Amino acid sequence: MEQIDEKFAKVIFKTMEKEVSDLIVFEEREKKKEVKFFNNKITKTEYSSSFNIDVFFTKEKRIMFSRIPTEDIEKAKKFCKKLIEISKILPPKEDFYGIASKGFNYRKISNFDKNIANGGGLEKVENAIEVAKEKGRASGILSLKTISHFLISSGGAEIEEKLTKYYFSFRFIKKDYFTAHKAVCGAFLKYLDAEKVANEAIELTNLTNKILKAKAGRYFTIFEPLSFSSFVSNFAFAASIFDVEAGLSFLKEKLKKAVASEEVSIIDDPLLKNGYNSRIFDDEGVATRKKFIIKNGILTTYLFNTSYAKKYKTKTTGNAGLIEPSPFNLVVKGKNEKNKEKIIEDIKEGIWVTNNWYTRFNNYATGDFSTLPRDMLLYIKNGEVVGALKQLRISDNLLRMFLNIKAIGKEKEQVRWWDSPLPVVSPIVGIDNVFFTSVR
Amino acid sequence: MSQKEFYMEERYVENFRKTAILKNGCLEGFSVVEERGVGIRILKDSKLFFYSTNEMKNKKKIIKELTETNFKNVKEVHFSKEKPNKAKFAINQKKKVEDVDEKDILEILKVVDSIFVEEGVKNRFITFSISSKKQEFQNSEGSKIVSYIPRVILSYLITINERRSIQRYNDIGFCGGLEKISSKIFDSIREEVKELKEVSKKGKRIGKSRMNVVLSSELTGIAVHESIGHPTEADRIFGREAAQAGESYIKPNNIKMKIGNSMLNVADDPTIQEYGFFLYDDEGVKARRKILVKEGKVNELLLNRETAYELNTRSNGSARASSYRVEPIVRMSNTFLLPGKKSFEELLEEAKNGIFIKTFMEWNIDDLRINQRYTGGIAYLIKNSKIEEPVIFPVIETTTFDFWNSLKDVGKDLSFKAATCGKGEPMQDIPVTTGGPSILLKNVRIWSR
Repeated sequence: MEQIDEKFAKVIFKTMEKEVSDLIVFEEREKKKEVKFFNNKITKTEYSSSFNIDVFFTKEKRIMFSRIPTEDIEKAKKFCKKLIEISKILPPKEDFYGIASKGFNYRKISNFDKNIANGGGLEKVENAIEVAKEKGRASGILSLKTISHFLISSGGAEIEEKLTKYYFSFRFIKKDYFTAHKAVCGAFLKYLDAEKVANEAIELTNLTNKILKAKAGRYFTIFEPLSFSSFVSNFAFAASIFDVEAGLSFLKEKLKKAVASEEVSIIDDPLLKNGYNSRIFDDEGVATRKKFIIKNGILTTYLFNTSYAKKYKTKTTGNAGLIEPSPFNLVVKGKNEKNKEKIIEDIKEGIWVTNNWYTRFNNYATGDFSTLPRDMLLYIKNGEVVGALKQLRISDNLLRMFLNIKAIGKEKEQVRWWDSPLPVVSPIVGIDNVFFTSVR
Repeated sequence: MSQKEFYMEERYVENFRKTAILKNGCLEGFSVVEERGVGIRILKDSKLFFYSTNEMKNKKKIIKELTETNFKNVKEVHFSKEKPNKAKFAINQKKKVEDVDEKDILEILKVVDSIFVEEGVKNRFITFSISSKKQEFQNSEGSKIVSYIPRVILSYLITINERRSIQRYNDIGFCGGLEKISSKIFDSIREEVKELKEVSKKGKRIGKSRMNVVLSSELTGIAVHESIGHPTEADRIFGREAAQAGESYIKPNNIKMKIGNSMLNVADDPTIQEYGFFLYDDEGVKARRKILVKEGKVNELLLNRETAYELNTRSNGSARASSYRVEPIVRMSNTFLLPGKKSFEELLEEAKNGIFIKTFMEWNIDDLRINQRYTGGIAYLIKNSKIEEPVIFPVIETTTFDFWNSLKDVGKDLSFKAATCGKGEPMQDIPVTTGGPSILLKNVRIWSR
């Protein structure tokens, strides 16, 4: 692991400091190792390294944010001078109230794995392929990252951290196109059991070999963590005060009101041990903290940075995003968490969604959306899987769905994927009256 | 290329972008981004490697380490044999995007926002970006391509609340400079808001029924992109995107399959100077028009060098990478339904009664590209071949094959719409256009959401 080169960020900071009202310089170094595989073979091995510097500054409430060229310090300084000139002609954001000048007491939590930093781990993908290759086709990606962050601000923050991340996506396809997908993530390699992930995906495809005729209608539906995570991500983004103001949130005017069943709580935990997106400081250098977004069904807070918090006469939640406050790691918690087997056993008639994609909103302000189940979509009768369904689509409202949550599992996993860009620690979740449409 | 042959390519990319973000009339921020980096792809002993960086130090050492990695389960990768190309291409602009005054960018945002304000739209989220991509490509076979492509894109998401809440997301983008944003665009935005207000105020629900449907170019374009363009990407057909963008209803043993009736003719053409423009792809192969579907049957797939080798043919120049950080993969460019001969009025005449859908908001399709849905934003009833009262959220939910077999007639009013297409992992967002003329579909199952 290289030493963080503070010099570049500090030089930029010194170059701009006296000429602007607020200034944050954020430096990121990233090294990545990755393999992509399909049909049980590794098709590409990839390394990458990058060094980026982002600046955020204001000049009398005129806001600029930029990524600056980093190959030459003199060029970068010149670029920054140009940015300052540009800022002078911008209209001010009258409701901007400055960056953080306090809140810099950081927790000592490490999400840094020497094993990843030293370059190990890619070989785990071979174990997963070996498990799958006699049974069907395995495809996916294993990505390992080592990251250094350094932030310095005119508000007085100066902080660095080192992080590691793993992400393993594994999709299994067997005869007659019975498919299952698992996509797990974290910070420490010891938590990645690629063989187990592969076996779990294969087991899902073995639950039935019968295809049933799908009928549109309302069903009690259980969602695998990968599937439920896409709803949780969308919910958490809707809690950003930026989205609320822009008319992009169904959570407008819902603060302190019931937005979900009292069974469920959603937590944003930037300090999560083994969290894929864990960070000890946000984008303005404020120490991050764990917070409930939903507590027993009640929307407890929107997500704020310092400026938005001042505007709404509250405290920052440590979620800068300087333009748009954003969540880090999301955790789903149930009031009465049950075993997965028990949840399935109690279902008289229902559907089991193992993955979905293409979640698209017809209206972000109302929460009306549709999404496509992808991979195993199972029909349950009297607590037993009796067959698989095809060609169904969920067409519902996210608020209504969260209010209809009835069951929350105990066993959790940290997942992320295309449809859930945020990492979510989720169990299986059961929702009543989910509306499915059909092409027939 | 023989198995032991060594191949290497370098793409040195300089990206420039200025973006302004306006929320409810307030400038949230202005951004200028300049970044440079290199993406290097190596084929060594039939194994594929990729390295990207924006730091040049230790490059050789890292590449050496990368190409010495060894796994048990490795796919042999080969590239089709292609002629080395040496070329330079650039798009002309009145004023280079790099030299555009920030005041001009802000003025465009101001004009668009004032249209929304005058029409009483309270929730308005608008972004405007000008960008350029300068690229130097060279490979070990002697190709050297230097290119410069500027682009502009105006995007907005607005909420109309006359009676029912309706949202509209729209991208208006071009390949070229700021001069592409003309007053005509502002007129069309104003017209669109007026129509959305009418739909919000007076839109009626329709019950589930089968009707004739006239789709605008916008709807034709998205349906072509999703249900024809993506499935003809050869890497999906071979399974390379299985864990990401999915596979295809086209299978390796059925690459000439029938998708729709004989009215269906689809092209992908990067050489048209629209948002998805390029003249050489990111493997240095000369781009050309591909007829993906001819008279309802698959005619040609979108190929890069890897998939072309698998099919024992030549690449048709469809490899694109969204930045220096990612490998080039098979992508669309400007993908569109080839126009027919009918005027829009003639399509209405033929439909007699039914629905006309002009814009959409929500849409999706499954990973094999069969089960698709489009929900209308601006839509009207057609009565006696005339456009009558507005309809609220008409939904078409059908299969690719039912959709394209119900194609009854094709208009001549071809137009293109800018879009951002996602594929790969990490996600590669690239500029494309979806395109086509208005079309008439017969006897389509439809209802209001």
